[in-house]
Amino acid sequence: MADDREVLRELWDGRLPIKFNLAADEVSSMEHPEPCYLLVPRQSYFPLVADKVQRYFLKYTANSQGEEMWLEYEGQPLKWHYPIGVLFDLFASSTMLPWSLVVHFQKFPEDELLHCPGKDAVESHFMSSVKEADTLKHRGQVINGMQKKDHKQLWMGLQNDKFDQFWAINRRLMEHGEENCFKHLPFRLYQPDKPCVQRLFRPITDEGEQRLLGDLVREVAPQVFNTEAEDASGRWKVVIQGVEPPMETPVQWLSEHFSYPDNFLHICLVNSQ
Amino acid sequence: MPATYLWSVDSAGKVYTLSTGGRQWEEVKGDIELKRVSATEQCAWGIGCDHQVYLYVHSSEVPIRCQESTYENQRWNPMMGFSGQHLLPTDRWHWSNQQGTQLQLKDSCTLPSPHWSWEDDWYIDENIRGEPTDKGGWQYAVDFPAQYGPKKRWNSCVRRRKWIRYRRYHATDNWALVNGQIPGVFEDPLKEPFIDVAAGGAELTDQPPGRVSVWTVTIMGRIFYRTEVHAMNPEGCSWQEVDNEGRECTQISLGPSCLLWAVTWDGEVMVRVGITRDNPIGTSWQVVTPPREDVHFLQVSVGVKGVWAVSRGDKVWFRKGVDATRGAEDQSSLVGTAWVEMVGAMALISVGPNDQVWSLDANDRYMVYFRKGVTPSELSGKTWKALEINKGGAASMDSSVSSSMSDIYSQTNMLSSQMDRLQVAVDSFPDIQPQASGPNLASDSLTDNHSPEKGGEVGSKFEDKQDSKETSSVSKAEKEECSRESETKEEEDNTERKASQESYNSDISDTVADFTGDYVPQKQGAESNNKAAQTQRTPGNMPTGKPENTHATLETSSENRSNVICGSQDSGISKGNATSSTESVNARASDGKRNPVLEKLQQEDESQSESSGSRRGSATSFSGMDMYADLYQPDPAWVWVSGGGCVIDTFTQPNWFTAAPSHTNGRGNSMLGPLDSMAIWGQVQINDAPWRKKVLLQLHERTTKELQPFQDYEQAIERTSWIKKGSLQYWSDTKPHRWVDCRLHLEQSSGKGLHDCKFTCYYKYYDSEKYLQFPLSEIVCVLRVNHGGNQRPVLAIYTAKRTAKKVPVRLACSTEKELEDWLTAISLACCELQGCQGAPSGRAVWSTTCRGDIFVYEPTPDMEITPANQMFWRQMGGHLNMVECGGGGVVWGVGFDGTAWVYAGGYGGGMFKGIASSPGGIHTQTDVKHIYIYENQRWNPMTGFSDRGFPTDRYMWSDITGRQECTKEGTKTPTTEWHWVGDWTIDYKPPGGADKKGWQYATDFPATYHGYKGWNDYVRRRRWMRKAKIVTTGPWLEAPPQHLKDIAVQVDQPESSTDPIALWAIGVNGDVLCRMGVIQDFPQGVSWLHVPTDQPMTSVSVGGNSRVWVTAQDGSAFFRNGITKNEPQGTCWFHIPSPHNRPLVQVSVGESSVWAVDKLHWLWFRAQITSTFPEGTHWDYLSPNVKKVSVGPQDQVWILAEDSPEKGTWIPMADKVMDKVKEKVWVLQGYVPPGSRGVVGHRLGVKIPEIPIGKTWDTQGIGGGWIHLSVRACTKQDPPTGVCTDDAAATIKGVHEEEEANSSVYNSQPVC
Repeated sequence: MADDREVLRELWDGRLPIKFNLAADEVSSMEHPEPCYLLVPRQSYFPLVADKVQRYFLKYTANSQGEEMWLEYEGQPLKWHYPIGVLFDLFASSTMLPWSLVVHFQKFPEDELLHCPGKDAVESHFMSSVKEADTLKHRGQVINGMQKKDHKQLWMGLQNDKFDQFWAINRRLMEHGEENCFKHLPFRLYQPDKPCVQRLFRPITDEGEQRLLGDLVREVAPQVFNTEAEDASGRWKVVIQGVEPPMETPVQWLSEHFSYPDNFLHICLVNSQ
Repeated sequence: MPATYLWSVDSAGKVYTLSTGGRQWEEVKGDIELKRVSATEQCAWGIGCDHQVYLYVHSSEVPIRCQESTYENQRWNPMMGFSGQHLLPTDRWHWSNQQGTQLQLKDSCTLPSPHWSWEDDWYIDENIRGEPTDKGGWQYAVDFPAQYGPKKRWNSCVRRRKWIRYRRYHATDNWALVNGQIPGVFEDPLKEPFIDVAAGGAELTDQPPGRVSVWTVTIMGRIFYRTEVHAMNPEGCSWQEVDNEGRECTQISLGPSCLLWAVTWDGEVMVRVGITRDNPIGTSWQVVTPPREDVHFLQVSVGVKGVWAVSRGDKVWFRKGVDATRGAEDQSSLVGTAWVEMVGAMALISVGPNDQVWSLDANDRYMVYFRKGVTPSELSGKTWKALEINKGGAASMDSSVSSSMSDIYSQTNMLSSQMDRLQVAVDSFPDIQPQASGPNLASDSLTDNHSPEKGGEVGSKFEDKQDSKETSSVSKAEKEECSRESETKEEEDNTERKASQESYNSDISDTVADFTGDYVPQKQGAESNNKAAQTQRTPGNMPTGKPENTHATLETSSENRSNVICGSQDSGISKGNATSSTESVNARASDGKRNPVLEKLQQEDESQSESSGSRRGSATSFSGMDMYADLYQPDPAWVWVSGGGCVIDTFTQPNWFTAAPSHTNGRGNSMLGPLDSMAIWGQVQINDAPWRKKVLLQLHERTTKELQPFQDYEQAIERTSWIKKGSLQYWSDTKPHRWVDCRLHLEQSSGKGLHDCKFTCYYKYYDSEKYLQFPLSEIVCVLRVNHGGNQRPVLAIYTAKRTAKKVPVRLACSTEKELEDWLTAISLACCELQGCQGAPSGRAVWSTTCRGDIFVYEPTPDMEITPANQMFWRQMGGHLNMVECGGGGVVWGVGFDGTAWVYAGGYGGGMFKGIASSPGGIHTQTDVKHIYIYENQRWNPMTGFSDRGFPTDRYMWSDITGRQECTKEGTKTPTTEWHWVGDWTIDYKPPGGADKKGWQYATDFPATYHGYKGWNDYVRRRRWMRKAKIVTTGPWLEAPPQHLKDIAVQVDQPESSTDPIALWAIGVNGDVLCRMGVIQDFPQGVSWLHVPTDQPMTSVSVGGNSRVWVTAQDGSAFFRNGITKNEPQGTCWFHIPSPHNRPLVQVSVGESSVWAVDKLHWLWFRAQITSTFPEGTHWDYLSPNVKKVSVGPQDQVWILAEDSPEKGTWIPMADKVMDKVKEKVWVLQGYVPPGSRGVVGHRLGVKIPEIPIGKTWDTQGIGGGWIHLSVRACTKQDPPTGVCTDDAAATIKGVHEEEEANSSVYNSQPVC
C-alpha cells in the first residue's frame, strides 16, 4: 500500500516553470507579446492549466476565435493526453529552465495530435486510464467497487491540485491483496520518436521475489538495455517523474508511489548523449 | 507486553521453552533431566528424573537480593565509655534485632541454601530512614526502648548502630534443587519421592506481591505445601503437609487464582476449598462426582474459570460452571456444575492464564496442540490446533549477533518446514520459494554485512554459521528433491541422496576439522572427525538403516525411562507416555516402506533433524559438546507440557500461527544493527533502504532545480480550499453550560492558501444562531479528552488564547470513528500549516497526558523562548505513562504497566493511519491499566450497611466522585482500542487503607474515608478494579522485559555517534539500573547493569557530565560518585538529606543545576553546586504547586504545575518562609489529587551562571491532565562541536578535566 507520505507529497508538489511564447507568425498585434510564465504541476495535463495562457494570448492573435490552442516544443507538437511531467522528461529533460514552449492557435497538426474539445475530454481520458490501470492491478475490482462520487473526487482532486482529496480515494486503488503485490504492473515506456510500449508485467517473479526496475527495462526494452555493459555505460537514462530511480528499486513500490494520478507508471527512456 | 513461555519436557528429560514472541522451541540449559514442569510467569517448578523438586528462576538484570540486618547495642559507663560488654541484665543483647527481643549475632546469620551467596561483608548503615547518623553510624538515646537521635548528648546513656549485609540468589537460569526435607522422612529423599508439583496462584487477589503457591505430591499420595514462596524467596522455606483426608493423590494442579484440583489413585477428582489470601492452604477437600461410574481420571489442569481433565482412554473432559474468582463467596463455584466430554484424544492437558489450553495428542506425541477460540464467553474453545514448531538449538545464543542471525535463519527454516508439511499434506509440489531464497537471502545479508568472501578463513563465527547454513540449504534442496521423487524412483533417489549426503558430510567434517584444530584440543578434534566419518558411512544404507538406528536409540532411552517409572510406581500416565512414544517410533520404522506419506514425513523429519543437528552442532562446538551423536536421531517425543506461564489473550496472538515475515520480498535490506539482539529489530524497513534514500534525494534535487528558482511564477492552478463539514455537539462555556448541537466547518487547503484556512463552529444560543471562528494557524493542540458529562467521545481544541485561559473548545462526536476522523483531519491540517511533518527532531520536547496520549513540541532552532501558550503540540501514536528524551535523540517511554519502549524513529500510528504515518518504524504497542469503580453503601438501623441509600445519595455504584453511575456491567473500556482482561475484583488496598473486606468508611459521602469503622460512620465504599488492555500502534518498540518506574537519559549531546549515552532507570521495585551499550544509532542498548542500593529508589536523573542523582523511597536524595567512561555505573552513593524533612519524590539534573520536587509539590533548587563539590550544600525552596520538573541541557527549567503557581512573583530564597509559614502554606494550597491538573510551564530569566533559578514563571502552557514532560533533549540546533556555549558548564567541564588526574579529592570521600 502506498504509505510513504514523504515521497507522495514531494511528487505531488512537483512543478515545472514554463515560459509560454506565442508563435511569431501568429502574432497579429503591433508588438510581440511578452511571454507568459507559469508554474505548472507535473502531474497535471496541459488543457487543465492552459486557461490562463489562452486568455492571455487570445487578444494578440487575430482570427483565432474558435481555433484550438496547441503547444509545441522545438518543432515537436505536445500531446495533451500525456501528463506534463512525462512530456518534459521525454523531450526536454536536458533543457534550460524555464521550459520554453510555443503556443499555437492555427494550423492544428491533425496527423500528430488529437483534438481536445474540453476538460470533459481530459476527464474521460483520465478516468479511462485509471480504469485500465485498475484492470491490470486488481482486475478492475477496486475501481468498479467505487461510487460515482469517489470517481469525481479523484478527478476533482487532480484538477484542483488537492493532495488529500485525491489520495483519500487513490489509496484504495493502491492497496494490494494478500499477494502483497498487484496482478500486473500498469506502466508505459516511452522513447522519443517511437510508439510507447505497454505490456503485461508481473511485479513479482514466480518464486515470489520482488522484481526490480532493472528487470523491467531489460525485459521491455531489450534493444536499449540488452547487455550489462551498455547498461553501465549510461547512454540511456530511465526517468520517472523527473528522477532516475536506482535500478534496484522494486517495481511494486514504484508503482504505488511513482505512478502519475492516472495510476500508470510513465517511464521515459532518455538518450543522455 | 513481554514475551512469556510455554514449557514442555521431552522423553529424554530435556526441557524446552517456546516464547510467545518466538517461533521455535529453545532448549533450557541445565544438566538436570526432568519429568514434569509446572510453570508460572516468574519461575518454573519441576520434578527431576531423580524425583526431587527443582526450581528454575528466570534470570533478570535485577538480582534477587535480600537484606540481612542486625543491631549493635552499647551502654555507657563511666569507666569504659560506650561498650557492649557492660549492658545491664535488663537490657537487650549486645547484638539484637531492631526491637531488641532476639539475640542476633553477625555470625549466626547464615545463607538459607547453597543457591544464595553473600554480596558483600557486613557494613554499617549510615543513614536510617533518610536521617544521617553520627560518626560510625551510631544513634543515641537515653535508654533502649526510646527515640534515637544522631547527636550524642549529655544524657545519652545508650547507643546502637545498624549493620547490614546483602545476600543474592545466584542459581537463576538453572535448575536448582529445592532443599528441604519432608517432615518425617529424613536422610533418604528416595524413600518418599515426589511425583508431581504444581505452582501458581500469582493472581490471587491482593496477596503479598510476588507470592507463589507451590504444592507437591509424593509417591505415598501425600500432599505438601511449600511455605513462604515469594519473589524475594523463590525457594520457599519448608514443606508443610496438607491433610489429604485419606485419599491418596497422584497429580495436582493449581490455577492462577489458587484454584486447586487433585487426582487420586483411584481416578477421583477433588477440589480444595477455603483457600483465601490469608489462608493459602485452604481448609478441606471436596470430591467432584465423575460424569459416569466408569470414568477414571488420570490428570487434571485448572485455570481461573476453565478446568480440563483427561480420563482413561485419553478422553478429554471440560468442567462447566467453575469460577475461581467467586470462590470466596460461593464454594460451589470452585467445584463447577457438570462434566462435558470433548472431541479428541489427548494424553495431557495444561491450562494457562486466561484459561488458554494446551495439550499433547495421545497418538502423536510429537505435537503440542493449542485450543483455538477460548474466550471468557466460550471457555471450552472451538478446535485443537497443532503448533508446528521446530526445536531449535538453545546453545546458539552465544552472542547477540549470532542469535539474531539464527533467528532469521530459523524463521526461514521454520517457514520452509511448514511449507514442507503442507506440501506433504496436499501431495502436490509447487515451487517453494522460501527454501530456495530464504536461506540464500540470510546468507547474502550475512555476506554483505560481515564477510565479503564466502567460505574464506575459518575461525570467524559468521563463516561457521554460514557454512552450516549453506549445507543445510543444500540438504533441504536435496530433501525436497527426494520427497518429490521417492515414490517412483526410489533407486535414483537413494543414490542421489547418498551423493548429497556425502557432500554434506564432507562439508561438515571440513568445518569441524578446521574448527577443532583452531579451538579444541587435538584429541577432541580427532574424535569428532571420527564421528563425522561414521556418519558418513551411515548414509550408505539409507533410508532403511536410519529408522532402525533411531528406533534402537530411542527404545533404549524409553526403556530406561519406563524402568525408572515402574520402579517408582508412577501413575499410568507417564508409563503410557513412554510406551506410546516407543510404539509410535515402531510404527514409523516398520510402516516406513509401505506408506509413502509416512515415509515422506519420516525423511523430512530426518533431514530436519539433520539440519537442526548440524546447526546446533556448529553452534555448540565451542563448548566442546558432542555434536554428532544425535545427528540422525529424531527428536524425542513430548511427555509433558505446561502453559501456566504462557500468557495469551485474544488481542495479541503469539507468533506461532502467523507465517514468518517473508524476507524475500526485496523491499530493501533487512536492517540488522551490529548489536541486534532481538528479531524484531531486524524488521525490514523500507525507509532505510538505500534506493529509497536515493530516490528521495533526487526528489529534493528536483525541487531545488525546477521549483525553487521560480517561486515567484504564477501558479497555473490556483489552489482553492475545501471544506469538511459535520454535525457535532459543542460545549457552551457560558450559560447554559450544556452540550448544544453545532455544525462544524473545517476549511482545508494546501500551499499558499493554507494560512487563510478557518475553523468555524455554528451553534444555537437561545434560539439565535451564533458562530465561533478562528484561523487554523491559531490552534496549538487538538486532542481527545475525558468528559464526564457526555457519554459521547469528546475532543478538545486549544488555541493560544484558550490555552492561557484553560478553556478549550470541546466538541462531542457521535461515534469513535467520527472523532478519530475529525481529530486526524484537524491535527494533520495544523501540522501541515505549522510545518511539523515527518518524525520529531532529536531535540523535541515530549510529554504525556493522563490518558496515555503522547505529545511533541518542536522548539525553535535557536531556542528562542516561545510563550508557553503558543507552543504547538502534535500527537504521536502509542500509549505511555512517561517519555524521556535526551542527548543523541535517544527517546524512551514507559507504559502504565511499567513496560519500557524505545522510540523507533517514525511518526504517526494510533489513529493516524495510512499516509499520515511513516512507512516504517510503526509497531504494535500494548499497555495495561486498571479501571476503578466504587461500590457505595449506607448504614441503616434495620439492615446495617446495605445498598439502599438516601435519594440524595450518590449512585450505589459510581465513579470516585459519585456523580457518575458506573455499574460493573455498564462500565465500558475507555475507547474501542481497549479491551477488558479478566473480571472485576475488589481492591483490598485502596489509597487511604481499607478493612479486611476492602471497605472504607466515612461519616457521610463527600468526605474523607478511612480504613476502619468508627462509631459515627454511616457510609462506606469499596473500590473495584478491572484490568483493561489497549492494543494500538505507534513509533515504539518494546525494550527488553524490565518493568520500570522511571528512566533518564543524559542531557549532554554525545560528541560522536559512537559515544556511549548514559541511560539510567528505576525498576518497579526501586532497583537502580544502568543501560549499557546505548549509542545514538542504537538507542535500545544492549543490557542492564544493576547498581546496588540500600533502599528502593523513586526517581533518577542524569545531568551534564554524567552526574547521576536519584531520590529514595525515604525522601532523601543520593548522588552517584565515581562515574567515569570505564566505570559508567560509578562507585558509591553520597547521601543528601531531604530539605527540612520534606520527602523528595522527583529530581531533575540539567547541564549544571539540580532541581527536585517533594511529595507536597514544592520545588527545590540545590544551591552551590561546583565542580569540586558536585553535590552542593543545601536545598533552596522556590515554589509550591509543582508536580514535575524537567531541566534541560541549557539548564532551562520546565514544570508541570499542579495548580497555577503564584502569578509571576518570585519568592526569594525562602528559608524564613519555611520555618514559620510551612504548615500554613500547605494548608492553604491544599493537596490536589494527582492527575487532576497538570499544566505545562517554564521558568523565564534563567541565566547561567548568574541567575540559575530564573526570575518568573510562564505557566500559561497547555494543560489539564498532563502527567509527564521532558525537555532534556532540547538544545540549540547544531551545537558548535567541542565548544561549550554554556559558561557554567564550561567551567565545570574545564575544571573537571583538569582535576581528573588527581580526582581523588572528591571521588573517594563521601561528604555527608
